[in-house]
Order: sequence, then structure tokens, then C-alpha cells
Amino acid sequence: MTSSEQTIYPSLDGNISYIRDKLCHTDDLKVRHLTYRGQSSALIYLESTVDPTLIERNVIRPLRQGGDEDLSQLFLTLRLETEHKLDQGTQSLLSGNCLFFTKDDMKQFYVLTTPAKYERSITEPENEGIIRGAHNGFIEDLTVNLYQIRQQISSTDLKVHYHNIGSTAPRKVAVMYMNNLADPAVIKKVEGRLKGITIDSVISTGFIQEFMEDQPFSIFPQFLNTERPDHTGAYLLDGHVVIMLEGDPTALIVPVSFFCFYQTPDDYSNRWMIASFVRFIRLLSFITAFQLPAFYIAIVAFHSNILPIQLFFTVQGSLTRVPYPPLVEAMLLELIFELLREAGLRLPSRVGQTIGIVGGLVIGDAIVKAGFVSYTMIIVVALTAISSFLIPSNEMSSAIRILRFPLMICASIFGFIGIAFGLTILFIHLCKLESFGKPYLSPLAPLKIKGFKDAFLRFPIWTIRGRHGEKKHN
Amino acid sequence: MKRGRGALCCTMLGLSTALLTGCWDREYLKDLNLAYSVGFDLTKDHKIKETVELIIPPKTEQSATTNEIHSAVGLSTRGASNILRARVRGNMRVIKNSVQLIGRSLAEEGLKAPMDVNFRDPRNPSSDVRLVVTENDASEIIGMKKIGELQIGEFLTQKIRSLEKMSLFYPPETVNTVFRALTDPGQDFVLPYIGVQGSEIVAKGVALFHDQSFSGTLGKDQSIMLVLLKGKSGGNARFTKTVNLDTSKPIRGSISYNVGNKKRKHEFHVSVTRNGDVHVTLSLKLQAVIEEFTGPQLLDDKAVKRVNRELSSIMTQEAREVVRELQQANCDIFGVGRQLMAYHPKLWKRIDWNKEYRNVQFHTQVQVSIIDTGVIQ
Repeated sequence: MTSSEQTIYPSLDGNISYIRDKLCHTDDLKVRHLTYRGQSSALIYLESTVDPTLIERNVIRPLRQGGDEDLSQLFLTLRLETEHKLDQGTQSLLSGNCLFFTKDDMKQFYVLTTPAKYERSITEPENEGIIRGAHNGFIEDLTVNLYQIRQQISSTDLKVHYHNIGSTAPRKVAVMYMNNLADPAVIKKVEGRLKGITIDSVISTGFIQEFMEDQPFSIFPQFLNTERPDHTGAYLLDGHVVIMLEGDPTALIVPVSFFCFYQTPDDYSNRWMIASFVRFIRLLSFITAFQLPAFYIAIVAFHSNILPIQLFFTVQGSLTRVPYPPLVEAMLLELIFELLREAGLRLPSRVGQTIGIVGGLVIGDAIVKAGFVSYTMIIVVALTAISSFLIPSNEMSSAIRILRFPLMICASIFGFIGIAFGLTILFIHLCKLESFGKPYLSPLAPLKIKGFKDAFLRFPIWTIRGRHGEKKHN
Repeated sequence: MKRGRGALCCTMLGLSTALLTGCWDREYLKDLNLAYSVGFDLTKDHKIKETVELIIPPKTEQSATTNEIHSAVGLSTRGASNILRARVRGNMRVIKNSVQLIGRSLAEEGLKAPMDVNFRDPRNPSSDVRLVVTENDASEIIGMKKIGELQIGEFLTQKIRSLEKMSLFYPPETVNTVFRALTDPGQDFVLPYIGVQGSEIVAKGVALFHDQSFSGTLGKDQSIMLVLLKGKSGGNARFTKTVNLDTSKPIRGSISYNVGNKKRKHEFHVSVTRNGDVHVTLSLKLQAVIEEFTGPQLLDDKAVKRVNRELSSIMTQEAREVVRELQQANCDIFGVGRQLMAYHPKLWKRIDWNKEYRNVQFHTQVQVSIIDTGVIQ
């Protein structure tokens, strides 16, 4: 890293050629030769990163017209900094600044902030739609995102801390928290792990997530990610820490518990009884989403005596033509469903309907008529699929979809006992799991009855949050 | 490195339990052939004849099931089953068995031997299997195959369940409860008793058992009375009696009433006198709802009082008759012996309960009071 110590050359041409070399003679590097105070000077910028009208109106025109005034008088509307290290200057070119070299002052040069802004409009995130409440979402620009959060939480306690991550192409990462609410131990952990990341470049928030997770070998996500400012703001005010990456609309929230993945902003805009009911249904879906196929296999292969007699004959009737064991039947249909789901995700929406027809009619009906699987299996898989889509967080939903395969195998080997063993192992894992030092299964383990108010159900807000401004500790 | 070894260990452990364990008790639903109702009879040469109703699963989801009747004779219950298995298709299983019929001839011999397999094998269901005694051969009833639209097993199950609600048989006697009574010397049991009349299957009342063998029967009204005397009710307990309200004119009206759905007071008390006589106080206070009255009078307060008196005396008479028949059949359904065992153990050790039960003095009293006459008087 000796080259970063390179200070300014005494000659204008020397400086220009150094920067040219440093940027590998890229074609979008522009050098404008101007005169300032009668001496030749140069304005250097990357035309792909700067706003051309800003440069024309606020830099070049004042220089031509203003004549010999002081630079800080000329560029009133732009941020002006002085710098003497050329490599710092080159780096700032990349982030949309332009450099101004004058001949009479060869000890330093000037950095003018003229970045181009091409940003997407603030729209509601597609996969996190809500019925009532704010309909804005994060975009790819960090400052706009921070603006949205600041707008929601206008508190002096909201602290933002920038980090640069990546050795070849560093990207800005913002860590946000409420200084008075967040747990200092968690903040220390987050900052420590962020600093420990050694990687060339960060492509997406998924990278940060994977580098920072407590248990990367666990199937359960330990970061909650959202593109909703209101969701993020609520967590900030609850004392959580938020990590955002420049150029990525996803906010990562830590520490989280299992139940966070089952909450949506809608829960708090609906009336509490309705919200409680919906949340209860959602937690019920956690059970059906991965246990239903296993349960079915266990019944059909081991414990058919628990079926009521009428159901017994219905199930038996639909099974008589299926030639292989229930596990194979279940695996086949689950895999077909996963194929359809993945295909539906990749296809453009105009072709999407085709998938519906293929899935619903061709596979759903014909596969039974052909005797590959039974109708009851289709019902089970359909219920499972619907339950898995009830989970608001896509990451949790995928995790649970995968979980049902090992459980199905357990059920096919040992029946109900197998399911019991599988679930025991799963819950031992969940109890042991931590997200940044906080127990994952809180408030269930460790047991905090008070926390149930906002975990299984959604009690009226005045009972969840202290009335007299007591803060909520997680 | 350490983690890798742990993961390897776990995988090996999982794989070996999955693949190496030989004991696999799985049984695919589609391979099962269900024996829904089973009947046992005693043949003339003292062998057991087992008759089963096999349910054949439908070919498609929409069509209905069909049934087949098979029977075989063997040395014992399981022996007959094994011979049956050689005859019927596939794997005959009794896991959803709902009713077991026992022919009267076999019941007279005793239940322990034919029921042994039911108690011994834990995979045989016991808690929801109704036991029924048949007047004729059990094979004759199961051989009817279909009653109307219903298959025989389904018909019998439904019939017994509905009669339990009418207090004809209550509480439900299943293989489980019978096993308990069989092993208890101080308690006997009764089982539903059915027979064939023409092409119909009718409930005849209950079959009384002493220890393990059939020892007598009670009629239908008597069966309901027995349930009430036990202090139980299946929900409804209906009687129809004739009463005479006017002593001057011989106008008689029949009255139907229900005592099963209101509160009852039941008193059962066993006492022993100094000289070792056992006295049992059995008193019952019933509240009746009039469901039908065909007499010409109105049931005003005065008439109701009279009806109360009449019904109480009729019911007391009947109750005493029931108790007499129970004693004759040596069927200790109330568990008097159990009370003696618990509170008078010295006496219990001294006496031969099989003989002494007939000498127990029952003081039976039934009191009926009408509390509702319906929407008209």
C-alpha cells in the first residue's frame, strides 16, 4: 500500500498522467483544461459518475464568468474539500466527485462533490406488500434509505456508523441503532464482526449475513431482512441494530428471535383481535408446513389404526393404485411442487400462467389418474405448500420447506416415534441457537410469559408497550 | 476439523439406525384387509368358529366399500384366525375392529379363553371394541351381510351406539372394561344381548354374567332400569306405563316419560350387621319429563301427585324384580363384593361370595317425581 502515499506532483501534467495511469486509461475519464486566475488549470472527472449539468452550471460557468475570486466564493453550492494525496483523489473520482488542479497552488488540489443521481422511485417492495400502513420501500441508494428512516425516527439518539467493506471494491455499510435503547454488547459484536470481514468485494447483503451469522451451519436464518422502512424503524425503536449496504435495498436486522419472522407490519395496523387471530394462524402454519407430510407418511405406513373408519376407507381407496411406498410418493410430489415453484419464480409473469395450468391441471389431476400418486397425497402437499407461503419471511419459509424432507424420512423409518425424535433434535437446536448472543427461541426458551403477549398473539398495544414510557427490553 | 468429525459421526449414526435396524413394524395402509366385525361361536365338538366381515376397499375414491363374510373352525380363537388367514385374501387385520359378537353357547362356557388373544396382543384394539352376546349363533348374524343399505358391522356399531344413548346398555362395555371386570372378583358385568327376528336384528336386553360365564338375561325395560340403578344414564331413559288416575272410574291412560336427561339422586350403601348379614340400600330419586299421556284428564297438580305415587310404586316393583333376577343369575353388577373387600375384609375372607351373593338383602326404593309435563298439562 505504498502507492496510496503518493502526494501531489508539482506539474499539472504529471498529476493528470498519474490519475490516467491509475484508472487504466479508461475512456470515461474527462480532463477539461480551464484558466483560473490567468493560469491553466484542469478539471478531472469520470463522466459516468457525475451529473453533467451540475458540472456545467456550477463549476465551469462560475470559473469562466467569476474570474479570479477565491474558489470557496466561486463554488458556493458545492461541497469543496482540499486534498493532497492523489490516490485519495482517484478514489473520490469513483464515487462521483471531480478534482480541480490549479497551477499556482501545487501543494493541494480540490475535490468537488458532483455525483450523478439515477435512482429508482420509492415504491412498495413487491414481496412485502401490506394492506394498511406506509407504502414506501427502500431503494438502492443508501442516503435515500437513511433519509426514510430519519424521517420516521426524528430522534437525536438514532446513530449511524459507516464502515467500508471490501479490499478491491469497497462498499459503504451503515450500522444504525438507537444509542439509548440498543444493547451495547450487541453493538460491539456487530461492529467487531463487520470489521472482521475480509473479502474482495461485497456483492449483496447476503455476503454480510453469511460472514456475520452466529451459526452459519444452521438452517434457520439469524438475520431478519426487510425492504420496508416502517418495519426497520419499528425494530430500531425496539433496540435492534440495523445493517444496510450501499446499493442494496435490504436492511438486515439483528438480533432476532424466531417469532420475529412471523410478524408483519400489518399485525400492528389491524385491530388486535384480528391481528392475534392471523398471527395464531401463521404460527399454526409453522407446524403444518413441515410436519404434515411426515404425519401423513407415519399414519399410512405405521399407524393407520388412528384414522376414523370412514376416512380409513377413503384413504385406502385412494392408495390402492399407487405402486410405491408413501415416502417415495411424498418425495415425488414434493419435488414436483418445488420444481413448479422454482420455475414460477424464474419465468416472466406473462408465461407464469402457463405454469399454473401445467401445475394445476396437468400434474395435479393427470398424475392421480395415471396412478402415480394418490389424491390424499395431493391434498397434503397442497396444504403444506399453502402453509409454507403463509410465513412472511421468505428466508424462514425456504428453511421450513427444506426441513420437511428430513422429517419425512424420519417418519418413514420410525413412524410417530421418528417424528418425535426429529422434532426433539430440531427443538434442541432451536433452543441452543443464538442471534448475536440473544436466544433465538425467546420468549419461549428462556421462558418469559410477558413476552408471549407479542409472540404467539398480538395483545393490545398498550399492554405490550409500557404506558409510562418504560422501554421494552428484548 | 472437530466439527467435521462430529458431523460424520452423526451421519453414520443416522444412516446405521436407518439402514441396519431389522425390526420394521411398518404396515402399509393399502395392504390391509380390515376385519370390521368378528363373531365367535362354540361348535358342537367344542371348537371355536370364527366368522369375520372383511371390508374390501373401493376401487376408486368415489365408490363405496363392499364386504365379504368368511368363517373357519379352529381349536382356539387365534387358531381359527390362522385358518381364516389361509382362506381370505391378503393380510387380515383387526386394527379397526369395532364389534365382537359372542354366541350364547360360547358365552355360557366362559369368556376368558376365547378373549385371551384380545388381551394378550397389544396391537389388538380394546378400548373401542364393543362386546355383544347373541341369542343365536354369531355367525348367523354376521352372515346376514347387509341390513338394508348398511353393511353388517356398520349396522351393529351404529345400533349399539344409539341404544347406549337410550340407556339400554350403559356405560359402554368394551373389551377393555370387560377385561377389568373379569379380573375383579368383586365385580361382574353385563353385555348387550341381541337376537334375530325374521330378517331383522333386534336388541333383546342385556346378558348377565357371573365371573366369566353367561348366567341370565334381562328384558329391555329391565335393562334400562338396571342402568338407572347403577346410577348411570346414557342421555335418555324412556318408559311407557299404564296408570289409573280415577279410582271411581276404570279409565286408564298410558304414560310415557323420560328420566334419563334430568338430574338423578342415586344412593348405594353396603352395610353388614353383627351376625354377618349383608344389607344393601339402593335408592333412586328420578325426575321425569312427561312425553306422552293418553288419559282423558288434565295432568294438574293433583293428578301429578297421584301419577308420582303410582309411578314410584311401579318402578320400585320393577327395580326389585331386576335385583331379584340379578341375584338369581349371581351377577354382582353393583360391585357389592368390591365394597365388602374394601370395608369389611374379614367378612370377605370368611364367606364364599359365589354362594353368599344370593343371600344379600337389597332394600330397593325408586321415587319418581314429574317435573315437566311438556307444553300442555
